[in-house]
Amino acid sequence: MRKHLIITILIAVLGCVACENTIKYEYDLSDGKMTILGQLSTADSKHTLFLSMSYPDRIDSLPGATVECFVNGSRSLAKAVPAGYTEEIVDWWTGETELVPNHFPYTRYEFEANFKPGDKVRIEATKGNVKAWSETVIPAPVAILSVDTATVVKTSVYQSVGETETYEQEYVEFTVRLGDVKGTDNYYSMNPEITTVNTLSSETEENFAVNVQGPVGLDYETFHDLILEDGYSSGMGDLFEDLLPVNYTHCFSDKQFKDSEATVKFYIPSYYFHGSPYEYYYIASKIVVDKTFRLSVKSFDRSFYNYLRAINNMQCYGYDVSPIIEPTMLPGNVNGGMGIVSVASESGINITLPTEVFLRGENDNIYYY
Amino acid sequence: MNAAKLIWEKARAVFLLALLITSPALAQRKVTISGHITDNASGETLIGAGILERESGVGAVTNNFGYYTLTLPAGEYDFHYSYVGYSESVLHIDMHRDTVVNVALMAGETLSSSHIVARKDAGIQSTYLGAIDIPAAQIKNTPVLFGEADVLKVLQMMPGVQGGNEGFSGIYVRGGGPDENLIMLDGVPIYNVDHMLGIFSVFQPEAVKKVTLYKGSFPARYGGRVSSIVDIRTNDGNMKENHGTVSIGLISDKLHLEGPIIKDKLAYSVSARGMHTLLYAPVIKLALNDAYGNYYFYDLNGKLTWRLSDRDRFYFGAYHGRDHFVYWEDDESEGTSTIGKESSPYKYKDRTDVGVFWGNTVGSARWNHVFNSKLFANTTVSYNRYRMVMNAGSAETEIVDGVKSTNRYHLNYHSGIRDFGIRTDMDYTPSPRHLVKFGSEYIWHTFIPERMSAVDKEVTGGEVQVDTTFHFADPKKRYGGHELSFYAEDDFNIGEHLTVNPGVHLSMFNTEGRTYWSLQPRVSAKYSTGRGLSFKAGYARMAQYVHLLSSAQISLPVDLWVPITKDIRPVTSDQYSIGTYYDGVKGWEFSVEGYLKNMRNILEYKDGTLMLGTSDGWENRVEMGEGTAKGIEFLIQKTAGNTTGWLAYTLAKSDRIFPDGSINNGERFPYKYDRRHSIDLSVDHRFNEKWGIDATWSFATGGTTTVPVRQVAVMTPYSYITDAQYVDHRNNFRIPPSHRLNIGCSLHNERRWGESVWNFSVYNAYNRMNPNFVFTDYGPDYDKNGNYIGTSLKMKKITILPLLPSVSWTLNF
Repeated sequence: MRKHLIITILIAVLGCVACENTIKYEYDLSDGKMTILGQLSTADSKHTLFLSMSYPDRIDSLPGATVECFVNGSRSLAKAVPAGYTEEIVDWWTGETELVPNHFPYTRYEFEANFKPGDKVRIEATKGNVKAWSETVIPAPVAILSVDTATVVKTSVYQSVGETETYEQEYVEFTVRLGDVKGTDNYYSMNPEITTVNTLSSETEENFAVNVQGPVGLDYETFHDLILEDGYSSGMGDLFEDLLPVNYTHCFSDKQFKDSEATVKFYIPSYYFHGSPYEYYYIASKIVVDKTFRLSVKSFDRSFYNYLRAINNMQCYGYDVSPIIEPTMLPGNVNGGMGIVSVASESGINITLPTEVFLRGENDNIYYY
Repeated sequence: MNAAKLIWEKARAVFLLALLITSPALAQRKVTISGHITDNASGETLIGAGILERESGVGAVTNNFGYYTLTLPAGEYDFHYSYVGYSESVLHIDMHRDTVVNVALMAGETLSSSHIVARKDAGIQSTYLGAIDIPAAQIKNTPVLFGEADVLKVLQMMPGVQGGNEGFSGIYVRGGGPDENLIMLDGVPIYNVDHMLGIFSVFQPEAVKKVTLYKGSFPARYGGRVSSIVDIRTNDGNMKENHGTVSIGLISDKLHLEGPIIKDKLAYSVSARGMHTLLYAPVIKLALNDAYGNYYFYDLNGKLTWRLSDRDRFYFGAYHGRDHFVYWEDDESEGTSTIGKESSPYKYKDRTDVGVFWGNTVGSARWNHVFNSKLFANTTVSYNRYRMVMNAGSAETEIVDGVKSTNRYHLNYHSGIRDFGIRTDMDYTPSPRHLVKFGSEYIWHTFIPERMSAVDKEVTGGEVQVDTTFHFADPKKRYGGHELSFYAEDDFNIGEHLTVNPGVHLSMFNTEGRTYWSLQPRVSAKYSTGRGLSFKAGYARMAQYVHLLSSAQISLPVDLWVPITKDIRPVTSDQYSIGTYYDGVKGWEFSVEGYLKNMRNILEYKDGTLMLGTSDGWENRVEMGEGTAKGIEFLIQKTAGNTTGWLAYTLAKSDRIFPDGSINNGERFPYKYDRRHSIDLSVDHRFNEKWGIDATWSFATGGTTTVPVRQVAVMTPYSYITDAQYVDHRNNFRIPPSHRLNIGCSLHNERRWGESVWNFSVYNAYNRMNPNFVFTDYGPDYDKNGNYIGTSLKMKKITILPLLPSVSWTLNF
């Protein structure tokens, strides 16, 4: 008996003593590729590009590059100006902008240009003998035919001691009717954003500070909207969230409503639409909260759609290659280099929400979350 | 006359015309000799044994149930009954009417192939291409990991069959995936074929009589998978006397018993195998105080054979196998808790536990009926269940100031498949030149891909505070599938040299309100020059209606079988094969086969998909694409003499493409198990009655895997920039080749009470560090003096099966 036990333990030990060795595999660590990243839009005239150099073992910033933008063949920008090896950080408390050292090795390049649907936009970046370029045609914008909102309560149901137990959450339901761009394959993203302006007053000073937050992109629930989920899951709660990817990037294709109209629904928790300035109460006795909600739908080309889907997968499962996850291929549209430059056309609506006034001592606990 | 009737009449006329053309002697008065051929000592039926009338050169072979039938013009004949490894038996019979002759052959002298009737079902003399018979003795003698003889590991050494992860049991046939193999135990498909995450297969060699592998021109009677059919037949049981085998190995212990219940009428065969850790679980429990962990597997096989008459035989078979993992840990404490100035005595105890078990249960009842000397029927009713259950939880008990609180959390996850099937196979032998097989099958599949629930219960002072059950997956969710198929094939001779086997398999699968039909033509042809040289060509279309959602390169219990759906179409394949064969030298067989296989609607996980088996939304995580596999296979076999074995070489290429762009940007990429070269050498030498030595050497080009090639900045929708590992294309790295030598040696000793067999073996004898997993890692570099000089990117491999010696002891009585 003891002999067999020893043998069994021996086998278990042998099984556990897996050997790890290094395989000879030559990486050319000097093999750098320029990476250009940018999300440009017809809705803005100021644009930012992020440039870096990609190596097998690192990413380097790329200052000193010449970056040019061509619209329909005409150079609209002679040379982009790098924003420096720094990053703009907006202080959430004071609303002031400060420049801090860039924590990530890329270099920002900013330029101004106006785009419209149908424009052919070409971005070229050159540094020394390294040159990369991207070209894209701006698609036509989707038509937002109508937007309806309603406040709804969604109930989650659990079985409990012989009874049913429920958990309720109040949402703003958005019902949006979209008109597809006809004759082409189209790719969109739904982008709800909210901007909050908190105006602070004290007993001694009126409006002594104004704090601007946003625009902040809002996540939403879909509860089985097949168009917005675009093949991803609706999510099944905390336990499975990592297993079942949801559509974090909010992109979707028109394959389910090609050349026609579609009504999509999504839900944003109500508390996003109300102020919750309790953190100011110890310095302000009165806070006026003004919120502006913007719902935009961006149209972009297939390459950026594929890129967003890849990013969605990476966001779900991590940005590193794992043995139990089929690796994500990062598509791109940068020739001679890597990355993606998208120029989206945008349709949108703005909703100014009613002003809310919060007085210290009267409604301190409203909309805590 | 309606259209269907017209078609039937025409088909019948063509069939009769074919019979007339290919049977010139049809007009003479014919008589038929039929019966069963068995082993003289045990009464075990012999599959593929032959009867030959040498003067006319006409013969027949036994089917899977040992039944033969041969029709000849009335007259006097000398019939030669033969089988490999058995002495020939000659019967002189004056044939004037249909006659039933059951023959028992004695083990002994091995015949040369020229004296053996060409086997119809497999082997190089059959019409099929890529059909290989593997006798049980060959499986038992091949040295493998831990000395555990293994059916699937022997199959891996056949040309065209690749192993998956080094040392594991998965089989990948001619560029196909692991779920594309129909592995059947006595005709019943088995879903989970592995133990111990794929290190061992579930088939206990002691219970196996014969294994037949089809990988080329598939017989029309098989369907449901696109890459291979593995037909495993088990022992019927000794009809003459009781015998048994007891075996003690390094990993498991085995027991096999067989014998007559009623001599020559009713026999049983039972086998059991269990891992040591199952048998010694109580000891392990005692040895480990506050925690207990154990893993074991076991297999139970049982078969009852009832020979009611020469016309009717019944077989009842059962298999149950299971892997079991359990772990629990206790924590206990006692003392006084102080809050402020108040102290309270307390007692605390908790237990955390995890238990997982998974396995198959199969039952079948089979009825052989001889309608007449030309028509043999086999009807099978089967039940098949695969189940995986995982339980995990914790239970806490706390007594503070005499108030008892308990908190219990329990998670239950399970998945499974259940099949009910009925199948009828008919063998019709209208003349010696024809062997017609036809039949049908119906399988009712029920897939329960997964169910998960959790219970949270808190009780304080006898009052229930929380008692909630969460259902994370729809508890009623299940997928049904109705699979119906019909087939017909005829293996017939045209002249002296040409044999043709045309057939058709028609199948239907109904699920989610949608019905898929698939008409699968099959044809094989063999031309024999008459001097041992023959040529074959074949074509087969196959269709597959189930998929395995597999999470890794090894077999895991969370791998899930799912059916096709209304959106996921069946996998289909078209395979073209040609081959040249030579068996003109006594005891030797040579073959060269080439194939081209095109697969459609094969599934792959999309880029960036987590492969953990979860069925919810699985359709959205896979993509249908196309695959191509092509290759040439060389096989040299020595089948007779003291030294037997084979040398196999395969040159192969397999790739995939998913044109929609969701995988690898729509570009073609090599398949995960695309191994360009494979060489397998197996040698078995018997020095004398006591000593024997076996050795196998395998070499295989490494498969492919995906590794990152650089670091890259990526951008999220709100222009947040982060870093990621960049992969240029799927399966961009070829793993280093694997090769290993396994050596086994057996010592047989005849004792008064039976035969004792010691087996000593060494797996991976020269300790080759074959890669099981490959990954990249950023690690420190040091100079010669051990000083840190920086960090660099390295490629690393993990080897989990180095040199492993083993010993086993077997008693045959």
